[in-house]
Amino acid sequence: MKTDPVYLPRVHIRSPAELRSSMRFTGKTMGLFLLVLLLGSLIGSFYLNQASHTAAAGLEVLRLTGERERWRQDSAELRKRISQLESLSNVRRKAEALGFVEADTVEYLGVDNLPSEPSDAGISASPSTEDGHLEEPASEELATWWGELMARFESWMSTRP
Amino acid sequence: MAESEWPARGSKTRLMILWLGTAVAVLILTGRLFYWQVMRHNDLREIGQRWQLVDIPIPALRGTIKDRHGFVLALDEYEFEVFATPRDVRDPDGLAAELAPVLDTDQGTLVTLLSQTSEPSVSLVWDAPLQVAREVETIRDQWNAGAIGISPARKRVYPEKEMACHLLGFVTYDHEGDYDAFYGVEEFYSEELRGLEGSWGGASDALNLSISIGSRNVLLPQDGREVILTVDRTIQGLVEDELRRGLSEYGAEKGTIIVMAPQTGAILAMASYPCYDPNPHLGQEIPKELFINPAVSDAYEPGSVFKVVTMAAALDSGTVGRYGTYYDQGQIFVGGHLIVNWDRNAWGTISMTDLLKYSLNVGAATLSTSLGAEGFYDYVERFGFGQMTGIDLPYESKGIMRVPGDGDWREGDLGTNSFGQGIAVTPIQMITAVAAVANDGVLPRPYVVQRIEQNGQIIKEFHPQPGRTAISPLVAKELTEMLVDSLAGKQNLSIPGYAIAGKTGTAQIPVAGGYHPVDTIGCFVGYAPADDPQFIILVKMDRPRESPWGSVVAVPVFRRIAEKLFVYLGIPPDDVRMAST
Repeated sequence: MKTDPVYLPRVHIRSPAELRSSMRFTGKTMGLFLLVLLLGSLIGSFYLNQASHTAAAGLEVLRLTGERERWRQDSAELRKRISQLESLSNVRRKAEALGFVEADTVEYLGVDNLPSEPSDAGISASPSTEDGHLEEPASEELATWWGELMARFESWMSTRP
Repeated sequence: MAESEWPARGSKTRLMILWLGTAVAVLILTGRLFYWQVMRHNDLREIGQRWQLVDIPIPALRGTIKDRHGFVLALDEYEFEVFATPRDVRDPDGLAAELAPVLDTDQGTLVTLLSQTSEPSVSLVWDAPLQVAREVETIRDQWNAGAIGISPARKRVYPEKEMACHLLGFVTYDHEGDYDAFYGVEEFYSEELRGLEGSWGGASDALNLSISIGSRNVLLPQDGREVILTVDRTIQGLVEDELRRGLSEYGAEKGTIIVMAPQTGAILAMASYPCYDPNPHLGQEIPKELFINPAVSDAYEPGSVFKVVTMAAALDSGTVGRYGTYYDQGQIFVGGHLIVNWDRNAWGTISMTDLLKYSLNVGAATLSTSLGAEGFYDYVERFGFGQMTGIDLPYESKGIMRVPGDGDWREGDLGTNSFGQGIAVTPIQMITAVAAVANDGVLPRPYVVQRIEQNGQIIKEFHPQPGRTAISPLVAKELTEMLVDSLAGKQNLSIPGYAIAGKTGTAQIPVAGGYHPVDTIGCFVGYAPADDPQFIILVKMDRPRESPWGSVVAVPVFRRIAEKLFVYLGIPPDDVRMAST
């Protein structure tokens, strides 16, 4: 007599050791996952940090480029104003307003033995010590020197016709 | 068995078909991917960049033109277009009220413009100066930032206005920032003056505004080079003043004056009148003929000034000596053409100096016929006629000179050409030819630019380039002395203490069928100090009404300029100078 085979469920009961091992595996996986998460977060935050720095730098570049352009524009404007102030017509107008007139005739005077350096000035234009180094004049000396200079200038002015 | 295998075989076939189908699909997809990603890579990247990247041009300023002392004659400035996007304007009346006094525009007009919401953008002002643009920026910051825009553009400025307009030329900018340079130094040195435009390239958002992250390419603009002229602004100014005064005094239609350093060929001043203001003005209409520089482009019959060339040729070839004479019968036939003196008189025995002094046509024709056509035209060519001087300015004319062998040359030309008739020269050719006499017989090459700089560094420097030797130094010296002697006694030329060499000329103006019965061109070319020439001046006055003669209309202008140049250049009188050397 042929009987149908009976299929019984095979139950595998984990031993405590197996169970511990399985839990360890899960713990490892979790640890690994957390590690990856942590690394990912670090990389992410690093990237975000870099991106924000780049964005900030980009904005700064934009701002500086704009500022440079504004300086260029200001500089061009100043150059134009200088050129207009220096223009011949403007200089001539200002000179005439100040009482200058054109030199029509020039008299050339022959001077014999013209010294190459002014020797009778009496005032050294650049006071210096013997070894050639410049020395700061004392305030009294400076005042005296200035007084002398002004006196000479006034006397020269008074002798003019 | 066969029945049980059938489904298995069918399943395998279906699987096979599925695999094949999948493989074909993968192949097709791979092929398409290859096509789009590899073969069309550059095209697609370009299209993508066009959408994603914004490229903002940063305009470069055109180089500055300065005179020999560094005074600015031409430079670029910024002007600004102020525009608005009406749909972003919430309160057109309020905004117009704030903008109107700043833009110096009618408030009602601004309200109308700012209310045109159907327009994406409206221009409020095209040419606001910098200060106005800055004030508009302040207003913009108070209002909706997107409502008002300011766009910089360039504009060429000539601070001396009309001064040296023909020499400088001019530049026109359009609102796209493109420009054209016309005439003068602006055109000839346009490549040097042109800057390199910069750009700011980077990613943009949907509104085409730049995003501050991502790759970018900032290319800073490089402004154009500075062009430093040989021209002296002060001399140019006084020359223009004297030209205007001379034209007014003698009722001349137009005129040209050139001042050159004969030993180098450097142009110190070049002025023609009528002139124009090259600064752009709204609605300004300038007749095109005014743009041409008559000093280098207009050919005219030089008249008796040309006798300097004829005499130089005769002396250098040995045809005649300095102290030689000829017998003036008052007329001479050359090739069947009757030539007479200006007064139609016979002057008898005449020295070479007196030939120049009294400007006798018969004498000049006698010299040219003695030289022969070949010899005469050889010298004419040596002095640079019939060819361009090579000056660094555009549209130089080489004049009109017929020589033997040309179909339209007649034997009579040998006679008429000797006193400057039947030949057309430009003022620059004429002054260069006489400068050769002042420069020991060597033809200088005239030039107007002495160097080109960038950021204070010299990029190019142009040194004087001597041309060919026209005559020997000895003959040049002799001829100079003859020219000085020939001018002795001319009261309107006398400058006490200074020896001046030169020659007057009065040329008839050719018209259809002959010469104009009344109109003339009066001119004078002279240099000083005669023994060591520091400057040479050509004065040309067209169609003077007060007198037809060059000696009357051109000489006084020369004298006034020379007097001032002696002072300005610090040239002492001859005796003082001789004593100090």
